Amino acid sequence: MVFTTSEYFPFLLRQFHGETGWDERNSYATFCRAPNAILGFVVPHGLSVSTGRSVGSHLSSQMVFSMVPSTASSIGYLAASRPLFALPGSDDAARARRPGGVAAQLPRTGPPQTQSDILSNPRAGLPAAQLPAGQAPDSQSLVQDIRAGLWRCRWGPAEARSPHTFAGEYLMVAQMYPALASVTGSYTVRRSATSEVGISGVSVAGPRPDVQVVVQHATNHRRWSSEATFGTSGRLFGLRGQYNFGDIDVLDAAARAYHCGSQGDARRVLSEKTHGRLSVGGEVYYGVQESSGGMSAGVRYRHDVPLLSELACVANPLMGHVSLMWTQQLRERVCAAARYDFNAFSLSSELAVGAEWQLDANNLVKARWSSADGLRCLLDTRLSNMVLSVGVELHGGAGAAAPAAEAAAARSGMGRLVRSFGLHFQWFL
Amino acid sequence: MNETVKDVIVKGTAVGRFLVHWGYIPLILYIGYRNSSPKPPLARIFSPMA
Repeated sequence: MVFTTSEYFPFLLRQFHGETGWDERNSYATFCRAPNAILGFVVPHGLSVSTGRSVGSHLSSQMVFSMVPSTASSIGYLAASRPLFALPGSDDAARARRPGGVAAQLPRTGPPQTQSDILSNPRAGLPAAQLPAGQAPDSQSLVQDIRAGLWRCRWGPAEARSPHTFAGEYLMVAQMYPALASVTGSYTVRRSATSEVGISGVSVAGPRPDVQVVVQHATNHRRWSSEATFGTSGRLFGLRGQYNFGDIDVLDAAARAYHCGSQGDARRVLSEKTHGRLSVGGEVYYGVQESSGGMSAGVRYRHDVPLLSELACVANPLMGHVSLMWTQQLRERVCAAARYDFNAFSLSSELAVGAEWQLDANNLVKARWSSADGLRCLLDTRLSNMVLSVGVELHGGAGAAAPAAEAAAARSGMGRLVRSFGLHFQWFL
Repeated sequence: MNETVKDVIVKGTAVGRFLVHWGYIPLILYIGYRNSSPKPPLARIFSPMA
């Protein structure tokens, strides 16, 4: 069963990591974040309403009321060691009206149309998503801060290296599903500027109570990162890491100069032509209970200047699976991606292509087609403090599995074409 | 390991599981409420419209 979930807590987690200097991109877990943001988006299922609310400066709540299916309703709370995103009505209006607010910094000219436009006017159409770090979001930027641009690298002006290690910063999250008598929770604590420990788990009450826990220790340096994981389900041990080649400081300074500096800085960065980032990563895992394991390895090459361009390859030799991914930012607010999956043992393959287009500050369109699953479309629209998401999945795909194709043929009318349709109302209070 | 110790471990695990299942959310509410400034109204914690 697929549940529609709110985006509020994942957004707060990203904000927590951003404010404590934790680079989420520097991890093998997010190795394919850019193509997955374009191709792996989830459409709402059924009808659901959710609220994300800043109850206090250190306490937030998230409630999901799902009418179809009703078992997806949940209540969640988040406590952090530092204030996170808040949208009180009066503060929000004040921020939006101030001279440096988000609305004032929306581009006045259209985005660059071609590469020559970028070269002649590198800073034209600077999107609001590239605002300096510390620019507080408000209701006018709900779509672009919470829903859009997860593939984007957000650059802010260089900050002086602070001696603060963020040691002791913590984040506690829990979500309760009354219909399922289950509680999911996590506790994340920073041990130092480059080390973090996380404990997450699921607890199910009732006639057959069960608890599954996952413990993870992550290390995040600029040159490399690693994660060690242990899960009680199957007694699973896992280890993964990522290594970044090149001069990280020079690459970051170039990207920051281009996105946040002057026109002259942007032209200088473009003329240097040394902006590629090469990263390699891998993971191994072993389940003691089943005495089986697995591994995977990946390589990624990425350009941040002038537009995001990324090519990645991930292979799992034990399963015979290879995945090639290409992500290309076409314009400031348009990004496309393609992925080709191939299994050397079964000789099966799948092609998926998709795109994300932020029409304006209030509207976002995502579309994805795959040879196995057909077409999936999502529309996000902001209305004041609410984001309305409309999603539809259509049957199709040349390589649809035979049972699915037969089931689709057995339906009549729209049922043959539409696999699912959903509405999700999200209020951010 | 004798049976008494095993029983203690099994019962302790069950009690711990019960405390985590029912006590983690109240713990989050207490820590978040204690650290917040100003203190939010209690109605705001449980009602999204308050």
